[in-house]
Amino acid sequence: MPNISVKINGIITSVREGVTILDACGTAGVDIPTLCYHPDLSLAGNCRMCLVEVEGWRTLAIACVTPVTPNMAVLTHSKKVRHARRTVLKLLLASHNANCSECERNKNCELQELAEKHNITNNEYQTSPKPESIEEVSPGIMRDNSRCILCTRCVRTCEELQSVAVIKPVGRSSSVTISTFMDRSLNDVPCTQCGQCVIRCPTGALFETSEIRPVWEAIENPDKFVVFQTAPAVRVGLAEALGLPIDRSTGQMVAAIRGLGVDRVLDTDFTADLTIIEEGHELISRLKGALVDNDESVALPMMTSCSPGWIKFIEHKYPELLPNVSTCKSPQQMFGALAKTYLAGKEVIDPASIVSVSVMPCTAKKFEKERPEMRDSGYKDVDYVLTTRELARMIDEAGIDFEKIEEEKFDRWMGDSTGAGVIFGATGGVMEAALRTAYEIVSGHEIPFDGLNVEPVRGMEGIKEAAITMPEKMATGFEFLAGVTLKVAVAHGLANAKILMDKVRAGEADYHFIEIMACPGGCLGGGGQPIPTSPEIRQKRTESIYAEDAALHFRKSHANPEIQLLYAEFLKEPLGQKSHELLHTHYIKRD
Amino acid sequence: MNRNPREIVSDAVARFGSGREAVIQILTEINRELSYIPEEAIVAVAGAIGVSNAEIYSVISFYSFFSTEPRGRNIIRLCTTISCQMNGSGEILKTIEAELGIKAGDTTPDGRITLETTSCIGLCDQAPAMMVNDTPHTRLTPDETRRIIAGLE
Repeated sequence: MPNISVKINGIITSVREGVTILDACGTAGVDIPTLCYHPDLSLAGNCRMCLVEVEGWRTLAIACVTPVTPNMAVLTHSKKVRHARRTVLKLLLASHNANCSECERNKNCELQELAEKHNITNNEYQTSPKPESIEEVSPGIMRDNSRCILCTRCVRTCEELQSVAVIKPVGRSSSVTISTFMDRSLNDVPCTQCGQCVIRCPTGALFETSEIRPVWEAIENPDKFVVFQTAPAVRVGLAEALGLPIDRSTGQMVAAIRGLGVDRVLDTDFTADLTIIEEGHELISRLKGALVDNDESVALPMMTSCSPGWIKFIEHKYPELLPNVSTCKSPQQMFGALAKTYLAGKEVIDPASIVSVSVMPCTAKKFEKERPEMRDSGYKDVDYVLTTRELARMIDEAGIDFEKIEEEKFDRWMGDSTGAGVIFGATGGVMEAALRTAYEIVSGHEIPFDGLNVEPVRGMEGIKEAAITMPEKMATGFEFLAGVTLKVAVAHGLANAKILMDKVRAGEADYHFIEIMACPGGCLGGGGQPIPTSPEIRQKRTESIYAEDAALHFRKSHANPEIQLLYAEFLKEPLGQKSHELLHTHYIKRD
Repeated sequence: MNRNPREIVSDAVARFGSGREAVIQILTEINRELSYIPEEAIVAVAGAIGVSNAEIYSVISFYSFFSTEPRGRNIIRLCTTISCQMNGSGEILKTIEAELGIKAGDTTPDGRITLETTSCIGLCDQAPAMMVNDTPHTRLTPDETRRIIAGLE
């Protein structure tokens, strides 16, 4: 497409032909208010916030969906435009339940921000009372349609990014609501609880099911021993959730959590490393079954099991592929099972008094902890799950100055982590961590990538593939893999997972190992992360994750000293009896 | 004896295809034969077209003539869009509700009549108007409306 010249507020700007007025204004550095527009989604053009005036046009143009034409003259803040935008905002606000001080999105709400920016104080369209809250609860996600402005970002997210499509506009005209099949609860439709809708909602119509109050109660109860675990992606999202620039903040995070009055601050990265040991051995054992024993019951490709949104997705949509999913519990649930067994022993604490809290970039983790099979410690393995946003709210409530706090270290026994554990937070990270360890186990040598960085599985491409050929000389016992080319694939976002699963189901894929993360970008783009999200934001968080990996002393899961101690003293061996009792699980077919 | 909803769907798919553009025709067939679109049929249509159940439900919810609830032997569809409203459809609605002892959206306990309101049925020039089954009735008055209702089996 050639460049053309357009005039924006009198200033001539050169833009690519075919881009929208909104894009052209972006190029010119002119800010246009939007609501239904989102950089990750298709264009809807339904909210009318971005109206602009085009010289010679009878009506105002919708900037987000109108392509520029040569010599178009656009006015973005003329009298006509300002009046129209105020009318649009007043109409949206008239039917919006503006209970701002009680709203989860207070001060992080696009509608509130626009109302403030456009000086909406009195609203002549407020002719009927504001709608009352109508809350609907599921383990991870709550909805309040009285705050919904029908922008359909959630609808487009669910369909376009996740290929789940459980929420749709229902009804017509003034009676439209965002609803589900037969207006059921999210609990009774194939919602994956991923929360991608939550982080794209411009208002507070969608939010996480908060567990802040019970966590405070546990902390305030002197008879409880409160143990926190923190997921890899939380440390690259927390500063942002507290209004600071995007950066990794591991040490401050640990100090702030300790400042809440928590008894032990430990790391999910530790059990991410543990997942790699168990899952790596599971992969090798499956490969041996298929290649040496010609066992036809062995399901390949093996698929990762860390992402609970992905697990619920495959349980609903591809139940016939469940044997391919690794039996390893997610790092959160491995941690939970060990906290009330191994850690209780090490700390000499009655497991019944332990309250196990995890901080996750995820809403589906709240669902995962409620799965009835997640009680292998004899107790509920994980009691509460907080999102990154909820932790930020607790830090605020406790009056902790996150910017000034001194960095601290995790507590011992389950607090050591390696770079391999950290990169679980980015798409491709589990694959890279698994390859770093599995390659070394079977060959006796480090994986032949510069600085252990397995670049082919990194990055934001929706589906990534890599092939690694094993050397001719293998470690004892793994000779069967000599010269074998290991084929792997990585997908993030469930729409990409669907493409891969359709290939696997059709028998058109010859991969050995597949990593799937439900959320675009991996956990760092999770439904429990700071709002908003965009490709640029996810890119910055990704850079923080890999910077953290590069800065750590240990980069390979099997080098983690506390993992070595855990096996020596408690688990004895990977895939051993204790591991099977505590660290592995099974899946169920769901309608 | 009504046919099984799945059978109606597979026949309709054979006739109209399984593309997204066939959805309205398939739904119309089910709605005509059963007088409503049961849940089982929605699931079958979604499966045949390759979209989510929610998407088919969304389409059904948009059109006044489609229903997901079983309906009576006769269906009255009173237009409540602007032209009919300005010409007295409100009074007609009250008349019918009083006559049948039910509210719009309900069916008489004997299953004789379902009363619904509908968006525009294209009879604005002869408002107020309603459809009774497939027959249009126009320039309605309360008396005329009562007479029409009395004549229904």
